[in-house]
Amino acid sequence: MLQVRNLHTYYGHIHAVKGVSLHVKPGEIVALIGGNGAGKSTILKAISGIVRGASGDIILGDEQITHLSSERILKNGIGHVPEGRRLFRGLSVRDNLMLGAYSRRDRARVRSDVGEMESLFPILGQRKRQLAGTLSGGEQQMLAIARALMARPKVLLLDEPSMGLAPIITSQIYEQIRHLNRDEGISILLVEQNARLALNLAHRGYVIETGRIVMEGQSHELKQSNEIQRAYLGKGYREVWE
Amino acid sequence: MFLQQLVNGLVVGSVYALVALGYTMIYGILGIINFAQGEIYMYGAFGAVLTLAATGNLGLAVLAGIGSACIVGVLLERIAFRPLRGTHPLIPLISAIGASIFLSSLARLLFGPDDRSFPLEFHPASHSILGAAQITGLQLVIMCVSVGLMVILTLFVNLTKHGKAILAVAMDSDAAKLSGINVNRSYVITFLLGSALSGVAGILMAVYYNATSFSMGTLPGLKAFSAAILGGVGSIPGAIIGGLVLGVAENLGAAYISSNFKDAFAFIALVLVLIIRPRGIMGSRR
Amino acid sequence: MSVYFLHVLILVAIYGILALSLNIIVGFAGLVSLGHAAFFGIGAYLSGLLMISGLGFIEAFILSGVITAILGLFLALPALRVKDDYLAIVTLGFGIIVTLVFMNLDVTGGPDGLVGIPPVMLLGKPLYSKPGFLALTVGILSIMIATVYTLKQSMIGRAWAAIRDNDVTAMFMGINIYTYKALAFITSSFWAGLAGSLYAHYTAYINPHTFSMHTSIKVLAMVVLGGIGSITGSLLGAALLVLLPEVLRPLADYQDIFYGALLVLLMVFRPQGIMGRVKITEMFGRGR
Repeated sequence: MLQVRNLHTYYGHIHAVKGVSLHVKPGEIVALIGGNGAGKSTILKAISGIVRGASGDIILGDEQITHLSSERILKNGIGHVPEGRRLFRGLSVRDNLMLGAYSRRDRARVRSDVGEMESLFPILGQRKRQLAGTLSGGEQQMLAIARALMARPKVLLLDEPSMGLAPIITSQIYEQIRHLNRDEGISILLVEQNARLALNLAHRGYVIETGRIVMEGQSHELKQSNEIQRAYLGKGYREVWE
Repeated sequence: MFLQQLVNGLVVGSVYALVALGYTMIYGILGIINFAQGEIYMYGAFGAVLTLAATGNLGLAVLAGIGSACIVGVLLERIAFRPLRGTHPLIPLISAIGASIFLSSLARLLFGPDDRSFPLEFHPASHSILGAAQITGLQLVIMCVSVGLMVILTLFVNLTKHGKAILAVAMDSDAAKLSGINVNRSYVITFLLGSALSGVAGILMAVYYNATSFSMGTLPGLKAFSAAILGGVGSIPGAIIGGLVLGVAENLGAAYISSNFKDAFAFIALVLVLIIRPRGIMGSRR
Repeated sequence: MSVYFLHVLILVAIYGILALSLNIIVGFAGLVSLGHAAFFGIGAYLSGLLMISGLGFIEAFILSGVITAILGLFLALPALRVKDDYLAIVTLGFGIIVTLVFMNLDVTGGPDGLVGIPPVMLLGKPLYSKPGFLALTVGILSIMIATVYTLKQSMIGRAWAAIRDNDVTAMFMGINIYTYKALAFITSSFWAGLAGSLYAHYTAYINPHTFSMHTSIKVLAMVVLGGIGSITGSLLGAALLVLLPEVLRPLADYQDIFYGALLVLLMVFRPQGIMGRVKITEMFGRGR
């Protein structure tokens, strides 16, 4: 479905992503884990076209989307829920949702989709006229995901959905993500610092360090690996100390 | 006397507000100060005056005026601002200053240095307000047109898809891109709206003062910009309030303190407001 | 050397001082000031009036610099409270107000300006010779360059660079940005005032139009053209923008068109100016 081959990105002179290759098969949830500053968010931004000037190939289905504008990439079926949610805080919940569907022409279906979102995330229906900036963290995350879903993406890029959220809210959100994948068939590329959460949800995972992929595999394999356990899952410290 | 100055101030202020709207929208969405907004206003006036002189058709002249202003605005965006997106704000500011100088001296070359009077005579009737002040038909027309345009703009921005898209781009341009909004198109629409409003403002003032010249836009542009800041830059209601406040402050200052320093009162009012309320009257944290 | 050539050189030197003084605010501290000609004018009128009322040149010269600096502080106090973006319009407004003051006060001669300004008096003798005046001006310019250069390399200069790059970060590092920004204004207006004094005693006649917004923009163009933050750049910019109108005198009508286009093209194609070695975005950081 989504293929990234030999991606390199630069921030000015800084070589942020160094030759990353990954793929997401239809119906899969793939996790991208790694520490701060490893380049995970940058990879997502390169895929959705926010970061420009990348070299390498990004292919969706059988189309090259590497140098397309974000607008076109979205029309082709990639949705991106950015880090920090990035809602339109001064606009209402309803307006945020409607803007998510900006590129769509089928007005009647857009309206029914809004209804669908509001039943999927009932809070959004209740608060539809409220300004997005006044929602709680969890509600904002739901709105951000719903907004991206309004474009009916085939692949959803999720950047740190658990950031800043309480564990209970996070598990609710993750339930929703699981439902979207299982019941709606949306493929998901998930970036998370919380490796445990990510690997529990995903089918496969990649581990990124300083812009390179250092490990990949089925998520249950990754969970068992000693390195991952030590680096990201908090186990095995005693061994390291002794 | 006070009421009269208030009335005069509101009339001029509503025109300042139109230009201030252009400033505030452009600043809100692009983060740049369009120093050349006053020149767009001036070209709007010239477009109308020249067309009217040539054809005698007022409706056509108004359209031509608005059209000229829009063309100048779109060209400005393309040439002086778009290549500079994402740079330190000082750079597009200097570019805008350069564009302003270029446009006004070009006008001087094309249209000559003298004032032109408006090719149509108006003999507006005077109406009395509360027995204490007079308002002419022309002043009423100016206020109605200005207020009408402000209402249309507010409705457009708050109710239409493209209008909300502009607000979205102003709030977060990356998120807007991710929602499928064509950010470039939003910029152009913003410039078109701002230019059209300034063009109308220019035409109104060309009639009101019966003088159109290459330099007519410089000072009003700066004052309108002050109005936008005073009201809270990036805020549409702010620009409207700012314009009205400035117009009134200017007239009252000229009447009660000194008419020699009339042009100074706009800036003095700005500094006073900024000291008390650094974000402007309706300003929010950006 | 022809008298005309000397005249142009003297103007280059005076505007060099003025441009370099603006560079302190714009290039070193990264602030926008669009009313700089006001300080030029204040220095000129002050010095002229002081000498007319009997003061000697050296006293008038120094006093005009100091008083202009104090006025620069008075501008800085309210001006720096506002966001940097608004500084542009506030300084512009200041420039307009000052011009209006020049035009409307009796003591400044109103729109007709000030006549009969005494020439520079050195050692009791008036300095009428152009080479002599040029030497004096270049001497003062040299002192300025040395001072400014030292300042740039000093802790103050480094604080300015930090503020220019990102003032919020600078604040977190313990730099009192308000004080340093005010310092930039004071230093800048001091030298601008001195430049004004030299100008007044050179031309013996000044009027408000010389110190208008047009001149403020011209000086800004000198700084930008030469290269923001570059000392040699400001001098080069001053030289070019004084010489160009002279050279293009037959095309005087097209002067401003050329000017405006120059600024736009510079910003689009080479914002770092002639002498700027670094890309402006790197010099200024990404700001806020």
